[in-house]
Amino acid sequence: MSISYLIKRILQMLLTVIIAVTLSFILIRALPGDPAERFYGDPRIPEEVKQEIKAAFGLDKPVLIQYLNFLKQFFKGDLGVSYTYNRKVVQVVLERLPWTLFLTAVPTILSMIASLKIGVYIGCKRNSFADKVIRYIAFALHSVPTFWFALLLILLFSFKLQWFPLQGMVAPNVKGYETILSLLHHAALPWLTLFVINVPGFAMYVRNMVISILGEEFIITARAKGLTQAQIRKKHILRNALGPLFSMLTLRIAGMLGGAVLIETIFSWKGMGLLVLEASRNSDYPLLQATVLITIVSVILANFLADLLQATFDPRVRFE
Amino acid sequence: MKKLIFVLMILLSVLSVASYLNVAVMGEIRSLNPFLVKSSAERIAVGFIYETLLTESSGRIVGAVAEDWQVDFSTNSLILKLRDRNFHDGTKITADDVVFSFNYILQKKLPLGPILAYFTGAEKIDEKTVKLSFRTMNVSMLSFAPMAIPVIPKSIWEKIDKPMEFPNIEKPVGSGLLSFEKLTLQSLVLNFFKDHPNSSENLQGMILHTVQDETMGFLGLVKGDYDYLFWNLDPELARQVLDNPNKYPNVKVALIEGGAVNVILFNHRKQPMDNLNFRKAVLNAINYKEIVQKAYSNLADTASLGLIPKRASGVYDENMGKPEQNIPLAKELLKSSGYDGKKLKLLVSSDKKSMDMAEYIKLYLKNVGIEVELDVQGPEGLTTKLKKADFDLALYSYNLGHHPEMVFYHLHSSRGTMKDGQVTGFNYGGVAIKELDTVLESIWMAFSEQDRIVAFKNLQKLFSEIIPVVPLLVPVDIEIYSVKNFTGWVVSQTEGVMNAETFKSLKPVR
Repeated sequence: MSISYLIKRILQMLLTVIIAVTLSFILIRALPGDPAERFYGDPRIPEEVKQEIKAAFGLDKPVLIQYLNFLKQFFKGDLGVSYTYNRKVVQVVLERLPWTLFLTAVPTILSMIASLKIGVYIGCKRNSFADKVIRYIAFALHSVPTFWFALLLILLFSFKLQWFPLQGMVAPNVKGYETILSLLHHAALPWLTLFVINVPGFAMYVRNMVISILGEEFIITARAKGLTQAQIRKKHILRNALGPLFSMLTLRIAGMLGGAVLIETIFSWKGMGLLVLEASRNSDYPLLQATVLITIVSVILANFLADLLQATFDPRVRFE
Repeated sequence: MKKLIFVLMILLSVLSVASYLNVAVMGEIRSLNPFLVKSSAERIAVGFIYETLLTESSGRIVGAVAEDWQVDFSTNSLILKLRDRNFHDGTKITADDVVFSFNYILQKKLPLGPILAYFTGAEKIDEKTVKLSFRTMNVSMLSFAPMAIPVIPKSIWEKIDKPMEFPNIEKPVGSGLLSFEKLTLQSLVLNFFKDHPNSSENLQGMILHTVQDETMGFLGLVKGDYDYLFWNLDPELARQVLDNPNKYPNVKVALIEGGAVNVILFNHRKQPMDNLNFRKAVLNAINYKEIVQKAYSNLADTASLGLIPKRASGVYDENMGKPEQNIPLAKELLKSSGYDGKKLKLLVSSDKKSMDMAEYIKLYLKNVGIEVELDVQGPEGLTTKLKKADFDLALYSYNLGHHPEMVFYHLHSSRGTMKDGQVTGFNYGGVAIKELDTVLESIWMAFSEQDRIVAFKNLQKLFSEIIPVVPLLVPVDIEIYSVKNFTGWVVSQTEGVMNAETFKSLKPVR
């Protein structure tokens, strides 16, 4: 990778961030609802007091001035103070981000590993009985709505069998090692939901990739050289499948920083997904802006990382 | 031995958790800054941690941090005598703290609308007496100021330079029933403050769990994770529990007198809504019992003809009676109302209950010869249309259970004038009736218990004669609790389940 390519790429990323931030700034303010309305919406309040309240939230200035102020603060690394949390939005986001990563990373990585095993296996045994059965199950699971599946798990394991808590992240009055146990206890069902929902899609993706790799000339050559099926699978199929799969994983993790809104809502898991939802419900502009920004930046960086990974696993890919 | 110690530790932790009342609240607790409350969950939490000078009980104004209060009309001020009370950190509440709490709002220009508009300052008269001054004096000043502003410790808050950026989640100190212990992303742990007169002897504290929706809260209650759901339960869910007691043996439903009166607003600026006979025709056309039964599964009461709900028991007039359907009379009244048969617009919110009610009302009115079409709007659209007075009839709700004097804002002519195409107050229908204004003004100036009773009696009588709006029904407030972990719940018809008696008598089931 040349230096000029790297500089070009960084500049492109910066430009994309600025365009995306500007667009989100405009779109967020175009949403119906006024963040300070609940404080000055009372018809008993005289006009001058309404203006004072608007000024306290920085909403008394024209949108252009608000935008320029925002950009000034943005380049200083200050994303403002949340209207609803009354503290720096960076603090709020940093408090929530680890919870989302904890919730989503574990089932995503586990489902990737499982999908790789299943996908390679059925890809190599195309149209066999096992392939057909697994595909039917995968299609069935893939078409199950996430919220319905999550509710089903809650009703069975939390409500009927009472094995797991209904929702939440940690029991309120636990300390020390009990906190970790409680956390794992609470995370079990959302993890299971995400795992089961992710595996079918990933596994089918891997299967299709394996089938296409199996048709390549280098596989025929490998067979002609007398390599066993296991050796071909390990040396040629897996290596070639890993590149696109890692790219997919990177993008998936970047998307997850935005939070798994449905899962977080159903299990009352206070991660980024619920935060975004909450911020938009309350017209909390600074908070909404920060969460959008994090999602944008992480997707852009993930794209970049995915390209690098692609090049690492596939020597044919070159950056110029 | 190690195993035994482990089992004992687990048992001890279970027992200590058991003396905490587990309460589910809807929404988030993001901040405990009492001046910047934004959600019902925060309102509940702050209401337990902090206290005001005065409070409301069954429609009566009673003391909290203050034991006594007087009005000085000559200076537009209230003079309040403080009780001997402590903050959670053990320090005494002084007149300095109270004066600071009120003046802090003015100094920092906190977004507490009405108080910024009418309050001019607080001053200390002596160690136990404070004076609050206003631009004008009427009974609503009580609900803006001594019943709304929390008393905060000066020693802590004088160091807070930017209250708009102060979430107050580290160690909030108030003087309320419960003191702060711990806030996590999903729960708030509070301990009973033993110096408080209503503190519990059997409970250690209360844990407020934030939940996202009613179904999960209900499942948690049935399972025993929660002991009480701190919101007004959906009538259909309540009906399910009431009709299947064997399916939910530990779950109890408490039906409390509601405080919100559902009404039909008339746009008095238009004909024929400005005609008394037309309004009376509408009043007599409706089958109230059927609406209560069909739209509310019988979990509502027909409203009083005098509008004030029973919940405001201090000023409610029992002798007012209730409206009843009388179709022949309605038809007769309609003939002399000037109604020309044109289709009228009934503005209604898009929620299911309102839609159901509106459909029935449309049918009843058609029955007597009034043609109505529904104008269905979402919450924002409804408010916009009400503010622009863009309706003939509208389904609306007045919350009068706690502060019945709020009726002034809904019906006084000064609150219904139009400015720049918008109604200037809550009187969206533009009611402008001289006798009504006079009675409402007397309520405005009725500070003593006796004066209030008389003024409200006059209002209810006049209201039933001039029908500025049609009082429809009062939905019952539905509370739900579990007896799985605690016994001794006391259901008060005006205070609900979460009342001082409940806290005193609740005992863990062991």
